[in-house]
Amino acid sequence: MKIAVCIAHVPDTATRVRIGSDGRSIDPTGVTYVLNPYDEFAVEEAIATREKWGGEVVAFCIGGPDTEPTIRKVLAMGADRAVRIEGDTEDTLVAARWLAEAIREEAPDIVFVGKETVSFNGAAMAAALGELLGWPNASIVVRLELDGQKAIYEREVEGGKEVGQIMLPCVISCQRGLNNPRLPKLPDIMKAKQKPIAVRRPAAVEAGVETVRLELPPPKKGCRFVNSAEELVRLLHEEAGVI
Amino acid sequence: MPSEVVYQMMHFELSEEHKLIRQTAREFADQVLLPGVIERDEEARFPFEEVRQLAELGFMGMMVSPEYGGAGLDTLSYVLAMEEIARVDAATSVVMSVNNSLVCWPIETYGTEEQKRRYLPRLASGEIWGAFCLSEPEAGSDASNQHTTAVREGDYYILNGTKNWITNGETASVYIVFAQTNRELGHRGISAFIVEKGWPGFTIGKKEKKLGIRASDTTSLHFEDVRVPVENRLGAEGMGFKIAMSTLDGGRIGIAAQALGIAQGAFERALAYARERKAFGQPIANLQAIQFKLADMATEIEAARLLTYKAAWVKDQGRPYTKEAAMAKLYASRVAVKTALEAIQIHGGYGYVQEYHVERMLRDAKITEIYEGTSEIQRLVIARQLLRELGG
Repeated sequence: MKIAVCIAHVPDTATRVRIGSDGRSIDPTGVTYVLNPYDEFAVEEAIATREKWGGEVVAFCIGGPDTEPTIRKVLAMGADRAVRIEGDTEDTLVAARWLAEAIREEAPDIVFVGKETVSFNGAAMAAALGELLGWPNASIVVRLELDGQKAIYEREVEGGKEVGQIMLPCVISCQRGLNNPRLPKLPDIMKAKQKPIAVRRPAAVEAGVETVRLELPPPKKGCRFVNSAEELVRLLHEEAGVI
Repeated sequence: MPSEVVYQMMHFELSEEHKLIRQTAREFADQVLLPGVIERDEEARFPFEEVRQLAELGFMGMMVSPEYGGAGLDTLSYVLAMEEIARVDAATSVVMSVNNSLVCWPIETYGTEEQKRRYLPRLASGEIWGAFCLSEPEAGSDASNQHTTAVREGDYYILNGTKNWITNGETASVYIVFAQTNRELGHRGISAFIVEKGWPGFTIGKKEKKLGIRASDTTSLHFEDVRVPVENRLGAEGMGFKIAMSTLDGGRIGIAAQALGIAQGAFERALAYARERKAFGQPIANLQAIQFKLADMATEIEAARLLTYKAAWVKDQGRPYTKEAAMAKLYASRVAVKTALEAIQIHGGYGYVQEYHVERMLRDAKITEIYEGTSEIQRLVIARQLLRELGG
């Protein structure tokens, strides 16, 4: 089985984000970049699928040479090779077009992506890739079974769960709970140095989304302690206006 | 001259592989070791499951050649991993340290091909782990004063004696034991042996109740007419003391890294607490009394880190590293104790109770000034090297 996994190189959520001088991007100074946490579930599922069914795992990542440490981590976790798409975009549809173009050439049986990136939180990649590739997709999957022809997935829905079935090839977006991502083994970290990373120049695609302005959320208001239930009710009614 | 060594390493940039090894060790420590570290310390419970998982990732035989089932990494990789593991759980880090530095290293360095094939794959994979048995009731810092004896009888040595303070004493399967084979020759009459658990006459004494690193097991060992096959002698007869000292040189880099990790862990907790804790209407991190402490802690940790990484680098260059290893251990262990003490002071009363971790870190830190050569012995080693360099 040929398995594709899309990964993103994103700021660590523990990093304190500052807005850059242009007001439209973050200031990268001092920011640590990591593998997108939801993509760890996708990578784990891709490797576990190969371990069960045999075949090959190919990782796809959009970005410059600075993304290579993240790609190497995925190779150390167990992906066989990687394709780095030389580009930079904040438009999910542009990213999806670049990825779809590269994935189509590899003709995988299944594509795994993380539920969303923690940088843009778009959560649209699985649907966009599915549409562009003409393949069915399932988002926010927490359980998955393959039988070589179809994928039976489970996902959380409001107040319950949904179980569905789609034919391969397909696109699956992975949610926390699907698996426990492995840490790379030390010998595999060294072997990852030898695994190939192909660099691909994507076709020019006009972006449909432009970031106009970034703003930090307002600082949290302090917590107030009240002495009685009556006082709490009065404040909720008169000040907060919620009851 | 030392300056030449310094100039050649002045880039201070870790390779991508080193960074990924450090990140892997950090994630393992935070995800796997942190959740049960207080309970394991309180109950003095050995981290069997945690060591199994460490082994699966390759941390139990980091520097062993892949030919014998190890990860084939350099000393700097080992130091980075030790630092991260000890940052969270010093007791687990010593299990790892002893197996890597004090057991796998001498077997790979001094062992016969048959010994390497017989022991290293299982030790490096963590299927079993080892212990290093030099200290005796009357031979601690005075390590050459060995009372354990090994008398040759045909194809065997008959081993008799007692060893003290043996880390992994109860849980190890393979023991490197030092014993006198010719008392008249003094330290040149000491030899090293690979002894297996379960051999007749080999018994394990009581488990010590310790101040710190309580989850690791420390015991005495008793040998009564234990028959050790000649093929289990490590190195030539009379070479034991040299094997012990050279092994401890490398071990000290590991303990320096352990001390560094404890210091870093205590510092991170103190810094986080100082930013959260409010007194006099503001976070205590705004108070100069606390800021001075934090500044001193961070500076000393950085100095300890540089000494430790440099010792690892010198070893990886294939140069003599006795002095660098002793300096790193001497300084890093002092910094660990001092930083843990200050971390408690910054926490105030909270620092004195279990759930804030820093009281354990202080208890764990103290041993780094004692084992694998006390701080006093490190000073002797450094001074002798200094005088030797001057032809003294």
